[in-house]
Amino acid sequence: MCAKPCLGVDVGGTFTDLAFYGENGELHCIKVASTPAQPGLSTLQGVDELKRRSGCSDEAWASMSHTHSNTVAVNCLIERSGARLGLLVTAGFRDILEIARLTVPQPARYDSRRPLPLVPRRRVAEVRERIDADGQPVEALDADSAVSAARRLQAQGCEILVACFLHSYKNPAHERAARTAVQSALPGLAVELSSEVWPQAREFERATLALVNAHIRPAVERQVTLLVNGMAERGVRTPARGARSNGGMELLATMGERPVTSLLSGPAAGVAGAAAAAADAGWPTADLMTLDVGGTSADIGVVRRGRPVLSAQERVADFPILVPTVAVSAIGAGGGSIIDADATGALKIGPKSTGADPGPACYGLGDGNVAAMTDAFLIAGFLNPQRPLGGRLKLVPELGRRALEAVGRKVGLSAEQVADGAIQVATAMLAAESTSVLARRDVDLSRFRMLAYGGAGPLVAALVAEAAYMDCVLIPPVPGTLSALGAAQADLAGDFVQPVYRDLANLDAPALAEAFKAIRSQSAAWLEREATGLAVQQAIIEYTAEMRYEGQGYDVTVPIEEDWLANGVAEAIRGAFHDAHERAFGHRHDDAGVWLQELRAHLTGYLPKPAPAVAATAENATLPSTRAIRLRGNPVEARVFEREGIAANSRIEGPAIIEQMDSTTLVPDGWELRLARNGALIITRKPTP
Amino acid sequence: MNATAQQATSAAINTEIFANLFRAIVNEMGWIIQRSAHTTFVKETLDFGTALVTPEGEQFAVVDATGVTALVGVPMAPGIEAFADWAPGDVAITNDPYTTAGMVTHLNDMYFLKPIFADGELLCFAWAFIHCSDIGGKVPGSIDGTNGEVFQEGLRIRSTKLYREGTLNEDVVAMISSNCRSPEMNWGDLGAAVAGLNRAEERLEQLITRYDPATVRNAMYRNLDRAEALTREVLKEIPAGSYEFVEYLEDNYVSTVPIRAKLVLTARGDGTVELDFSESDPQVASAINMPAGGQKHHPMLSLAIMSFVVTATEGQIFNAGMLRCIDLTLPEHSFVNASFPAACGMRVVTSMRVHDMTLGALASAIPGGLPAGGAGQLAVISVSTADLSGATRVVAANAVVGGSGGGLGLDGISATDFPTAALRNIPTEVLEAEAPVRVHRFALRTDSEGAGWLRGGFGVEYAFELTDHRATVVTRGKDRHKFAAWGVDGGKAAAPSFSLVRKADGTEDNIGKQAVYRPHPGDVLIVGGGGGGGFGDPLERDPERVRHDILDGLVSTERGRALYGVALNGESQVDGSATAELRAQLRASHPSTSKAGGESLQASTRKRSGRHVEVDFGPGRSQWQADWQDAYAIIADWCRKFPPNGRRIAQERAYLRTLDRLPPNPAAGEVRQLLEQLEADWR
Repeated sequence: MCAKPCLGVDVGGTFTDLAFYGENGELHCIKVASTPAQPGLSTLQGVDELKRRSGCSDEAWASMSHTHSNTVAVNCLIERSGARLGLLVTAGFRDILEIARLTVPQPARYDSRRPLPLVPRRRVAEVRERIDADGQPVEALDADSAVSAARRLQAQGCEILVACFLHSYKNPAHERAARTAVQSALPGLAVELSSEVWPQAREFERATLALVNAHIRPAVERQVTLLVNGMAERGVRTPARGARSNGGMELLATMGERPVTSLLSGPAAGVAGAAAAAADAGWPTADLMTLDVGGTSADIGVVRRGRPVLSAQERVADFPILVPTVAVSAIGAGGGSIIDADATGALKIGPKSTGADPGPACYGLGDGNVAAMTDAFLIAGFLNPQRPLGGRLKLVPELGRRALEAVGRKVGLSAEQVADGAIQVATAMLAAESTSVLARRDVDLSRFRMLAYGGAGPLVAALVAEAAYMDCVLIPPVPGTLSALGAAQADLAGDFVQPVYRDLANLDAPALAEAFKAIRSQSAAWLEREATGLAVQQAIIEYTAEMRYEGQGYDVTVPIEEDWLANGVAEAIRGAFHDAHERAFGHRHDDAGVWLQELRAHLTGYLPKPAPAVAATAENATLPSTRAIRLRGNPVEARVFEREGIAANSRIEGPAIIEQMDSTTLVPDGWELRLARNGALIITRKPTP
Repeated sequence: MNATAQQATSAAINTEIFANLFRAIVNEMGWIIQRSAHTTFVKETLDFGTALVTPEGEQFAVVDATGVTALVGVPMAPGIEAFADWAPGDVAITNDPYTTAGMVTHLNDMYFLKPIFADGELLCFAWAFIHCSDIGGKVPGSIDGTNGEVFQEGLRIRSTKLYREGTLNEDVVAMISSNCRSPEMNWGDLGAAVAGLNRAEERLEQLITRYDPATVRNAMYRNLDRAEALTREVLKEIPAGSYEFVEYLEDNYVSTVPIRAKLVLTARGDGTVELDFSESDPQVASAINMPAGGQKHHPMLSLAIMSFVVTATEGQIFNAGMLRCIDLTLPEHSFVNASFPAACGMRVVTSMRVHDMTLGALASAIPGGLPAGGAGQLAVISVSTADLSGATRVVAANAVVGGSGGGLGLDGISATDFPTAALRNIPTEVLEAEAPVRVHRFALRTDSEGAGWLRGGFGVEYAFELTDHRATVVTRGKDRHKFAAWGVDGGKAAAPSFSLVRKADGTEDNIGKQAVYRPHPGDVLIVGGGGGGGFGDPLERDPERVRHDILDGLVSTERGRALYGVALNGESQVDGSATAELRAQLRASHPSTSKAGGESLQASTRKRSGRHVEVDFGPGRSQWQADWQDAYAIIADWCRKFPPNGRRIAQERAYLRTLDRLPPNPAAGEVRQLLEQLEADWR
């Protein structure tokens, strides 16, 4: 039980969701309209509404913890509206951004091009210096060349310079010396170093990360200031925290220094919220696929043994992001995805979307008459035309029908057939993507359960599970605001990297201990700052090493015990690598050279959790109504339940529909529904007789 | 609803459902292989593929999430027909081009086929291929341009059952292991491929349980028909008629004699095209031959048409249905359709040149609809070191390509070309940690682009030094050192590729296309990739875009003035009146660039239909054409009288003697006389 109130905020394109656990542990979830023109404003408006609604005492209110996900970082990057940057690079490598990784996004298309670099070539300047792969200087830094380069870049209007020199992850001396030289010659010019943002080998990716960080920083800092001041003005005396792309959180002030770690904070908070929701329902160590179907896309994530799977290979708005990020795969099959027929008369969904405005035809906004998935859900009978979407938006079935009819005329189908067909196609798309995502993460789908959320996730979850050979789906009590809940319940989470890049044979005990000391002190310093004012129950650091056989082109992540590092037990590390390699690839080379590339640490500071929100259940079940729906090509009668009207021990056989304020859940025939201990819906496939 | 209407209903909906379900299976296979493969080549360059195949041998679903797509729709019937006794649990293996009629195209590609049954009846096949990094042969990695016969390229396995009804044939494994340089790595990759096939079988069995076999079977064929229909829609846009183009490989790595390919592309107006290669040169005694098996449809000779179709359709379905619309006419024993025992390890060079040749033919059919010629080389650099025990370690040290052509409203891509656009580089920081290499530069080449209204991509320069002086550098696949990427419609040719060594004393040695180099201390090797060709008149290029290229240091101020007619003022802005004046002068001084260029190029660009298109081949090829093209054509006609296996030898000897005995641009009579003399000598 969380002693103090806690708040989580997720700012989306259309709505800002807030989840607030009050002083008595009661949960309030609200949605307010987002204010994209003034990021942060909608949060404060929502906070005011929550204060009124919750009736929280001023004293408790002042002590609340509050965690904010942001979209400022990612929007600033997508629009490229951030700081004007210059880049300093090692002589000979002016084109690291132009060449990138050579490849183009869609190699089979003649119109595919690399994304434009964040910094044009004219603002990339070469500096004479060179450090080799062992970290040894082979050419001294020519500080004068750095200063004159910086001067040229400043004359071009650069607000921030980023330095990315070869092998600076191994030895940052030249980057640091260049910064010192530039700043003493040009006081006031900000210089950021790739070796400080994330010291990892791969010059293009490291430079990109440092550039993205510098680019979005001013915008994020502005929002941080606005939130910090706004919360203080509202009587909150605790520091604001920010949700991170790794599913955890840290102080907003810390995040302002390295905002690149928050680019995917919203989706990450959703997957983290899904893991927390599963724990609340009694599945603390579940393997889960998460499915979030929103307006423009469907996002698929993976939770293993109760924790979101992180990846260092995500891309955000055209850019590779090396820092550990909750892996989310998005496909264009959301409520706004457009339904149309191709030249051969086959129904297709997306990838284009109607967006939030005008949105699907049934929104009745503007002169939008384009058929989208929400129209299909409405006309197939999945959605109740009497119920406003998300509790706010009234749907107009006639407009949806008309748009679907227009598509139907192209292929000789009725509006109902198009609606039903589109849902079947979307189901197949989502199932195909699920299989692909899980196969990529080395996961056997059939052992996984699904957790669905977002406005339309619960509508299609069981159908997707059926097509992807999964047997069990969980719908949390408040599926519409899961990201905000995830932020409210987030733990402290920090990621750290210590470059090594050496043959294990040349790593003696003191060298190992030194690397360990370096990464441990980074983590400890971070925790000390972050834990202030929080009741951290337990702080756990997990160490891993990125390792490979000599000459191999890829790394294996090897779990490492602290003791092996502290006492320099290289043989234990070697053995763990051989084992991990064999597990992953089925073979080992005990005689081959083994390289330790990087040491990594993931620190989790566990915080007390609010008591699980328990969805209201009825003492006595209310009688369902019925509705004609179209399901998998057939018209069927579905029973329709109010979520609050389902008794705790009920078993409901499909076809059935469960309606609540922020979402609608479908139970197809062949599936049945019961309630978890906290009132979450559990939908399972009935055993085949 | 009547039965027909019902069928139409289910087709409209089921087509896309099954397209997704099949795609899920091939992509899942792909991820399994990528994840569990062992060799860097498979994992990093993603040189593998997966597909589902009809019993008739058409790939109806092909991986698109990972792996390469260059073999989409490769004809599989020869692999299937190799056995009459397919049984559940079988897996066949082969890497032999010559007993599979071009299904396999070089020995490093190992193919696997597994039959899948529904209710005891054959439903389809699951297919996977992986590029083995070594399959034995003369050199580590098996591929060497100078190989003269397939026997030098490694172990050849005709279709063989690796598993028979679920039981592994250990003899096959032993045979492979004892004939390649890194047997464990290879076997790991083979295991990954088999794991992928098994998963496909499991998934199809689940599909059959959910739907009935007939529904699944119908959907397979419908997926092919749909890809075909979508492809036809695009190809109908090509005005009916015949279009031709000639391309050359400037030499064949073992002699200085060029290789000529000629394409007559006929758009039939019904959404199908014919690619006729009848007048292309005989197969050669080096590894660039394409063993296409005389197939009517083959992706490696159809790349440009396939990319054209993919570009024009959103959500194109990748499968053999696309190839149904592209018919090939291939001369026997030619380098685009080589027969046993031609070496074929480097057939990608030929595939790239055929790609450009197709772009050239289409340029007169659909102006502006396709890019100009590209850098067209794939120079793969590897560094091999021998440790004290004598064991050799080979590290891939990058691939140097060059720019792509401009077109479709876009400037070309710098540093890579369309046929290689899936390829990633190796970061300098990663390479230097793994291999005794210090990279000095990896940079775009200023002024290397083919100028144009849409300019070509810039070429690239890779300069590196070995820090271990016992190491050897092998660079295979260098090309377009003389015959640069061409420009079209007023666009200019690009700078060609090159390769040189800068000595410690500052002098430079041109090492040209020499593959193996053992450096001296302090030597810096520089491998240059050419630019891409330009599209349209550079004098029409938006001066602002020229200004941006100048500010970015990619186009020099002088070139901006001389080729684009753009002058900048002291504030680095476009000087409008100076630019107008400059452009007027340049137009006046080259009143008919097209004609001046066109005269000497007639044989290459003679159109049959469509409009006349001006092509700039650049100085290297233009000069060669002016001097020797006519003689070369006479020799090419003449050598057809010899038996297939002797043709190239006759052609090379005759050409070399012509160079030796006759002046440039000899009269036809002189050439014929020389040929008669040569025949007399041979008799």
